[in-house]
Amino acid sequence: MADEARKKEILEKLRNGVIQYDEDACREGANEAVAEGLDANEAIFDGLVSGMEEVGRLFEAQEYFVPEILMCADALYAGLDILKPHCKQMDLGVKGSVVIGTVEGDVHDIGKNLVKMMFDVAGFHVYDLGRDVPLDKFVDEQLKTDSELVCLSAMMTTSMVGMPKVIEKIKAKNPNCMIMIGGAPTSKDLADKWGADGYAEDASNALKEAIKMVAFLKKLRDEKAAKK
Amino acid sequence: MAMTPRETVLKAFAMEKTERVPVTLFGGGMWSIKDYGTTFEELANNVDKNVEMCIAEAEKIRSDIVYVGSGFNNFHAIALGRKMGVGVKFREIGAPDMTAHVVSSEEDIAKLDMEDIFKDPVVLNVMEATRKVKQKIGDKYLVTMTCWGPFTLAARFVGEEAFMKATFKKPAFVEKMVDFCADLLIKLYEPLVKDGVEALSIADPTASGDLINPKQMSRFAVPPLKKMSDWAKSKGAYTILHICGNTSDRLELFPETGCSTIFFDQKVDIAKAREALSGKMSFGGNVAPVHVLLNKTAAEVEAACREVIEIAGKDNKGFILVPGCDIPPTISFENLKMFHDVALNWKF
Repeated sequence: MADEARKKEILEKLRNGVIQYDEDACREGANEAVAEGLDANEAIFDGLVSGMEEVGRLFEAQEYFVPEILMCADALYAGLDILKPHCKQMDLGVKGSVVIGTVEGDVHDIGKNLVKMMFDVAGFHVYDLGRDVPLDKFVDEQLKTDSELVCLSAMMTTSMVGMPKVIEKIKAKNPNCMIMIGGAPTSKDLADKWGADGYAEDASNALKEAIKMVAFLKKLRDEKAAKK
Repeated sequence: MAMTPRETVLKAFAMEKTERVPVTLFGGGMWSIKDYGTTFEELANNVDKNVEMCIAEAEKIRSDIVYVGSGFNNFHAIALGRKMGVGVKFREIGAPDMTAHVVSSEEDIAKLDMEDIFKDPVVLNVMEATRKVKQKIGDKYLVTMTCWGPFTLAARFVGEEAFMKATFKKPAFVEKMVDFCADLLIKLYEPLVKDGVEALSIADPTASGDLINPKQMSRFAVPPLKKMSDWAKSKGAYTILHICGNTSDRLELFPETGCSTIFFDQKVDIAKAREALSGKMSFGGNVAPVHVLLNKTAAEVEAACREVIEIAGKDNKGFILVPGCDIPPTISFENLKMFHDVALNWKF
């Protein structure tokens, strides 16, 4: 078992690897974490996710843009792929399964993929339908998987018009399902008007919301750990 | 005699005084198609119907600019990609899309044949429709054909996510690809401009201020736009540019594109834009297409349009009233009419 100083060093390596979009550093840090017996969940949250939170801050401050974030995400996944098999099943008090996709007529999936990544990290089971998804497929997939959450993304004023149709259909079949929408042309007003339960303001905020969500889950995890 | 819509908007490009506020949509293909009761698939194969629609909708909408081919831009990539297995996907909602991305290296660029652009039936049909619309109503309206900007078109060939990363990992490849796309687009417009089409309408959403940083825009998006605008100028043609997202932190780059006008997204601070561009370049903006045009009443649309004009257009030096992006097909005609009425009835 690594001592505290060594543990800190490995977590820093994972964190900085994500921030500096250095896939090799993340792989190296993850391998070291596994070899030296660090808790994999801790390595993910206090290393990789902590780095992604800083990336979110840099994005907000307009120091980072989308290409940088995509590379940071690659770095995060490089570490996550190694750490995930060593994770203890996370008991977060939520079942956590989500259907996510970009609505029909829209091929923009970068924002959606970033949100998906955060769900992956948080231990959600993610059913990613991809982009340009026929509207009924969201409804079918939600029923098939009994997911608690459906996330709809649209980046075009011309494609977002499919969203209310999906929301209506899902709510008709399963009123308990939560629906979050996001993407540049959408708004909180629209989410309310269309009967969605949640909203992420745009690509940057979708990421921020996802980070918030993970941070919230982290808090739950920490509280749970403190009670033990 | 009153200036025609065409003369009005050309005056704005030249930053000269107009009798009323110039006004136009940007694209508007999807709205028109829904309003006319047709589909992309039908128009792709029916030049006459496309011409009829463009003319009927031009008279109904009353924008100064008429865009032919709005929603068909992906065919410029599909045309060259067909040999490599790229197909077309028509769908119920949204513009037709391409089914695959086929370029990932400089070697792949070498495999693309620019001549293929003129072998695609849909590209040829849209070009023919543009010529006919120009012939029929080109004296009254400024008739243009739409395309993606070189950066966006390049990303269509490569795949947006891979292309974004390549701006860091393979910058030389990205530079080569955007330059190739600028040459391809010049080739595409050459016969049209020769036949009298006066303007190139360029949408560059992937160069959005929300996606790439100012340095990347300067390095990868501006030079190919400049290449296109230089060519257009040499032929006496105009270039209409729209870039999505918040570009307030890079306003000084727009005059460098050499384009005749830039239409701003609703996220741009239009007062700041006016300050940066006044006397340097015509600009348009930026009534929110969803928040205002879709969701508000006609009276609120009127107020929003007046506010934008008061801030950006009162000095009558090249400002054009435009929505912040292309409009959703579900906007009411009442709101669209009000949007145009405010500008058309404006007295300086």
